[in-house]
Amino acid sequence: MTYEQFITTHADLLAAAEQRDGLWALTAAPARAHALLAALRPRFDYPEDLTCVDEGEALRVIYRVARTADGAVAHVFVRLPRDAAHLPTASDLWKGFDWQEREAYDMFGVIFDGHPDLRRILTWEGFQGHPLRKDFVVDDDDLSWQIPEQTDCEIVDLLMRE
Amino acid sequence: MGVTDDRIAGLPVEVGVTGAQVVDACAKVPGGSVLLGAVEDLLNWARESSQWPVTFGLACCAIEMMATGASHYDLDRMGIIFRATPRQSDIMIVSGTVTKKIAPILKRLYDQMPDPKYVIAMGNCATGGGPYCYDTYSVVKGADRIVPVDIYIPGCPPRPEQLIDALLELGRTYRREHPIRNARTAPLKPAQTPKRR
Repeated sequence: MTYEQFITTHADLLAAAEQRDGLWALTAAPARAHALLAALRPRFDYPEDLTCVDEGEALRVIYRVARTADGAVAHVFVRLPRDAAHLPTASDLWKGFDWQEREAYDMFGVIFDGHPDLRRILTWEGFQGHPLRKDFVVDDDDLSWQIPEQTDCEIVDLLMRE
Repeated sequence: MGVTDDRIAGLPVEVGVTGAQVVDACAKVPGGSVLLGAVEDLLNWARESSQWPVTFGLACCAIEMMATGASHYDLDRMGIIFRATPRQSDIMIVSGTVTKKIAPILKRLYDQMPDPKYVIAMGNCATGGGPYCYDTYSVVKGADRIVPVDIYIPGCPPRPEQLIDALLELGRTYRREHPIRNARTAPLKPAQTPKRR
C-alpha cells in the first residue's frame, strides 16, 4: 500500500499528513492515535523510537516506526495538553514500546493508559516530578543530599539484601 | 579490637591468641619493635605489590579503566588484578558519574570491602560532578559525598597512564602505614560516611 492509498483509506484517523523524502509524517488526535498506530502495525514492524517534546502549552509525543524490509519510516505526532497528558498505550501493538513509554512517562509525565507496568525507568522510585519538562525546577540543593536509609528502588533493595 | 586485630594479624580465632596480644608481646621483647617494623614492611610490600581493585565501572571512564587493564597497558604486570567481588578487594576505582540511583550500591560495595581499603575517584565526574555539577537532578557531585576518597584523578576521561600513576602512588603511600600497630587501637580508616566538604 502506497502512502497515497494509506492516507486515503485512513483519512478519518488523520489530522494532517505529509511525505518528506519518503518519510511518512502523520499527525493524529489523541483519541485516534491508537487506531492509526494499529493501521500502521501491519506495514511497519519495528518500533524505532518513542519520544516527547515539551512545546510549552502542549506536549508532543512522537512515535517512530520502521519497516525492516526496505527501511521505510513513519512518524506519528500526537499533541497532548500538558496538564492532562493521557494516551492509550502502544505496547500492545509493538512490545518494544513498553520501556519507551516508561521513559516518556518518567521524563515527561505522559500517562499511557493500559500500559502493563507504568513505572519510572531512569530515575528512582519516589522521584518527584518529571525532569525533562520545561517547568521542572531542579532542586540543586545537593549539599544536603544524603543516601536514603530505605530506598524504594527494587534493584537496589535486591542488591542491598544480604 | 577483636575481629579487626585477628584479621589483620592473619591469625585464625582457634589459635586463642589475638593480634593485639601478639603485638604487645613483640613490643616487650628486646628488639621486638624492630621485628614488628620488619613484619610491617613485609606486609606493606605485599599489599603494594598486589593491589586488587574491585570490578566496578560506572560510565565512560570505565572504558578507560578496562583499557588500562587490557593487554596494551596491562595492569597485571604490576600485580594489579581486578576482582569480581568487594570482599577480595582493597581498592575501589570509582570510574564515572555517580548518580543518586547508584549511590546506595556504591556505599554498600565500599562497606563490604575489608579494611584496609582505599578509594580512587577517577575522572571529573567522580571527583566533583564534572559537567553535571550544575542544574542536575540525578548526579551526586563527587564520590567523596558517599565514601572517603584517597586519590583524585582529573580528566574526562583520564589517560590510562594517569590511572596507573594513581595506583602506583597509592601503593607508595602504603609504606608510611603501620597496619599492625594501628590495628591495636583502631581500624585504619573510619567506615562511616564522611562529612561533606
